[in-house]
Amino acid sequence: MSLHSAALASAVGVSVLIAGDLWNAIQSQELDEADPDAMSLFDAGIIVPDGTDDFFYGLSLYHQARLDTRSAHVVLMMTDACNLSCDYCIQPRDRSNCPMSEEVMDRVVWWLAHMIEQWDSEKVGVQFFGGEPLLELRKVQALAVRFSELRVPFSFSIVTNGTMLDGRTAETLKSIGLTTALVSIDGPREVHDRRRRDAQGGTFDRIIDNVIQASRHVPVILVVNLDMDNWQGTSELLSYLSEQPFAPGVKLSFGTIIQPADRRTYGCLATDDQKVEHLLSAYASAVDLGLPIEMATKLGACVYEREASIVVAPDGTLYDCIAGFGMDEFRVCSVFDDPQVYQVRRLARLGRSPEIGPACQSCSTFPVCRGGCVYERVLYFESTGQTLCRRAAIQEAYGNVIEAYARRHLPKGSDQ
Amino acid sequence: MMKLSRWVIDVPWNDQTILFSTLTGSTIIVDNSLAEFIRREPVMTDFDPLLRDANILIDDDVSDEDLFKASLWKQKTDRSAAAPTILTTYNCNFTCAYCIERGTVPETRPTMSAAVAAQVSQWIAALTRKQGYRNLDLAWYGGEPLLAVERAIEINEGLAHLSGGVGITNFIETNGYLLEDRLQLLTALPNLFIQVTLDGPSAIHDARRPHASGQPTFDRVLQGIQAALRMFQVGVIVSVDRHNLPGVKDLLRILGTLKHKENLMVWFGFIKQTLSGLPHCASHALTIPEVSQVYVELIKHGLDSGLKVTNSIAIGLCNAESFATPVIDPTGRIYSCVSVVGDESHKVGTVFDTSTDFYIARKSQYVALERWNAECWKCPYLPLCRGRCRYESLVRFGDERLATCKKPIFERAYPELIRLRVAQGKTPVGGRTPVASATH
Repeated sequence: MSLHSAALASAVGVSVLIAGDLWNAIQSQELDEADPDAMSLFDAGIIVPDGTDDFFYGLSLYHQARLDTRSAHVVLMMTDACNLSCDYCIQPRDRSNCPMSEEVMDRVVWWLAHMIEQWDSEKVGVQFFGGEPLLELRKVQALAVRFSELRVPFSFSIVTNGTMLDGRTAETLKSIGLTTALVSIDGPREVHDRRRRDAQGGTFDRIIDNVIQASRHVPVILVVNLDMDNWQGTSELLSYLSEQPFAPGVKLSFGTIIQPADRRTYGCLATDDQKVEHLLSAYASAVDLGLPIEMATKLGACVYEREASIVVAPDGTLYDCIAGFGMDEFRVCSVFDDPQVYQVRRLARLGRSPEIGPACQSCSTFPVCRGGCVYERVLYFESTGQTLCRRAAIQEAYGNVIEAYARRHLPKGSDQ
Repeated sequence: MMKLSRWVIDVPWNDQTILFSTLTGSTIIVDNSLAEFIRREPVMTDFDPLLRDANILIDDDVSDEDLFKASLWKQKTDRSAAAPTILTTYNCNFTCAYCIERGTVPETRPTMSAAVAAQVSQWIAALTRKQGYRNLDLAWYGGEPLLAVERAIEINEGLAHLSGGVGITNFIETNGYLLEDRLQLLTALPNLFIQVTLDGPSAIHDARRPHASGQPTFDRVLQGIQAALRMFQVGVIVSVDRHNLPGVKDLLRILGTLKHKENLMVWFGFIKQTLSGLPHCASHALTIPEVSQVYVELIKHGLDSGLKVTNSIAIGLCNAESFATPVIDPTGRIYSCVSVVGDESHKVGTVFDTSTDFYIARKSQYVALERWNAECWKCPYLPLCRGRCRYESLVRFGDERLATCKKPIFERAYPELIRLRVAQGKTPVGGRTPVASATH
C-alpha cells in the first residue's frame, strides 16, 4: 500500500495524484528523463527539465497562450436587460435595457469575419451573454446561423439564468452549435427564490425543471454563486440536486460574488478568507455526494489577457473584461471603429502588466494569479499597475480542493 | 485624440520629412510643417488614417511601452514559421582567423550521421506540429555545410514526409569553395537561397580565408558564385573589420562585373570580439563608432557598383529571442544561438529529448529575459535593438543580462539608411497639412 500525494502544476493547471515512492524520487531529483513516469510528470507540468528557469518558463507559457490566436473567443452581450433583478448582479444598475440592434448584429458579423482573418484563427467560439440572452432568442439564433457561415468552425455556449432554457429551446440551440449552457442557481428553493425572482415570483422550480429537460440535449454547468447571504444553504441545495433526474452532462461549479462594476454597495460580500471557506465547504459537500464538478483549478488566460478574445456590448462597444462592462477602464472601442484602432489599443493593453516584484517571481501560485484579477485591481487600486496578492487564499483553497479531488479519485483502499 | 508614437524618428528628406516607425518599419513622407505639428500636439482621431494605419500616430491613451512589450511578445511567439539553423558538420575546409567556432566546438569536428539527421527531421516535425508553425525556413550552417550537404537533403526529404503540407524554404551559408561541384545536389533543396562569404579581392580574401591546405580560395569561390547565379538567388556577405575594410570597394567592383547579377544580393556583416578571445578579432574588430561611420558608406559603394545591397533596417528577432529558431549541431545538441554552438552552458536540449517541450522550457530563459534598462526606454531605437546581442554582452561585460547599447550606430546610420531606402522607391507619401480646427 503506497502513500499518495496530490500536486497542482500552477503553470499549466494540471493536478495529479502521485504515488509516494515516485514523489520521493521527484523530491530527491532522482528521476531520469528516460523514465516513462518522468515524461508524464513533465507533460503535467509537475517537473521541468534541469536547466529550466521556472519563472521564465511560466511566463513564456503564459504569453504563448494569451497570444495564441488560433482559437478566437467572443462574448456577445445580446442585451443588458434581464427578467431577474439580483441584488448582487455585477453589471451596473444603470442599464439601457436595449437589445443588440440589427445594425450592430450586421457589424458584429463583419467585424468577427475580419478579425478571424487578422488573427488567422482556425476556429471561433462565441458565448452569448446578457443581461439575459434568451430574452433575445431569435437574435441569438440568427447570429448563430450567420456565424456558422464563417470560414472557420464555429460553436457557442450560453450564460443564462435558466428561466427560459426549456428542453425545446435547448434542442433548437443544440442544432445550430450550442455546446454548453451555464445556469446559475443560488441555493435551496427558499434561498434561491429570495435572491433570483422574476415577474412571476420565485424561479427555482422552473430552472430545475428546465435543466432536467435541457440536459437531455446539451451539457449544463450549474453555477452556484456564493456570498455571506447564501453559503450556508449549499449543503441542502447539493443534497437536493443529487436527487434530481439530470442527464449525465450536468456538472457543478462554484463561484464567489464580487464587487459590482458600478461600485454600489452590496452588503453580503465575503472576505478572502470567507470565500475560501465557502468554496471549500461547497466542494467538500459536492465530493461527498458524488456530484460531478467542473474543477475550479482549471487555468488559462481570461478575456482581458487573450489577444483573440473580446466582449461585445449590445451597442457594439468592445470591452476586454466581462466584469468590466460599462467601466471606462475596460472599454476598448467599438465594432464601428476601424479595426486597426481596435488592434493597436488591444495590443497595447495586452502589454500592460502589473509590476512584478521578486515576491511574485518566486511565488508558486504566480501562474494562477498573475498579479491578481485586473477587474479587482481596478476596483481596489483604481489602477492596473499594482499587484493584488492572493497567495494565502489561493494556496489554501487550491490545496484543499485538490485534496478533496484526490480523495475522490484515489483507488479504493489506498492510503492518503 | 492621437499622438506621435515614441517609436518614430524624423529624417530630413529634401524639403520634406520621412517619418519612420522603429516598431513597425512603416515609412511615410510628410511635409515638414506636418511633422513639426504632430510632434508638437495631439490631433483628432480621424486626422490622417495613413499615419494611423502606419502606427506613426497612435491613440493618446495608448502606452508606447505597453505597445512595444506586447508587439515583442507577439514576435517571440509568432507561429508563421519555424526557422531552425542546422549545422550538418563542424568540419570545415577553410581556416579563417576570425572563425567564432575556434576553440568552442569539439576538436574532432564531427559530421552529422544519417541517424542523427533522421532524428533531426523527427524533432523539427514534432516541434512544428506542437507549436503550430505553418512553414519551415531551414538554415544550413557549419563548419562548412557543403561538406555534408547530403544530410541537408535527407532532412528536407524527412520533413517533406513528416510535416505534410508545410511549406519549406532553404538558406545555406557556405564558404563557396565546393559550390560549383555541389550545384546539382543543391537543386534538391526547395526554395534555396545561397549565401557565400567573400572578404575582399583575392589578396585580402586569400589571406583571411585560406583553404585548410593553405591554398588560396578566392578564384574558386568566385567561380562557384558565378555558376550558382545561373540557377539560384545568391547573397554575398562581406565580413568587415579593420583588416579588410580598405579592399571592400575593389571587391564590390568585381562583383559588379558578374553575369546574372540580378540574382545577386550583397550585404555586410562586422567581425566581433569572441568569448574565446581570438587575437584577430581582438585586434581588428571595428568599434561601435567605427561601424556607425563605415556602414552606410559601404552600402553606397555597393549601390554605386550596380549591385543590390541589403539595406538592413532589420526588424526581426535573433536566434536567442524566439522559440522558432533552435540551433542544432551535428551531434543533435540544441543551442540558444549560433554564436555559442559547442558551449554546453548554452545548450537548451537535444533532438533525442523525449519531448520538444524540453527545448521550450530551457529556451524560455533566453526568450523571456528583458534586457533593456531605464535609459533604453528613452531611446526611439529600442524596438530595433531590444538590448542587443546577448553574446556581445557576454563578451563585453561577462553578463548576458546587461544591455549592449548600439545607439551611436542607429543614430548615425539609420537616417541615411532610411533615406537610401526611400530613394529606392516604394515608400508611401502621405499626410496632410495640419489644419488648426482639426485639433480642437
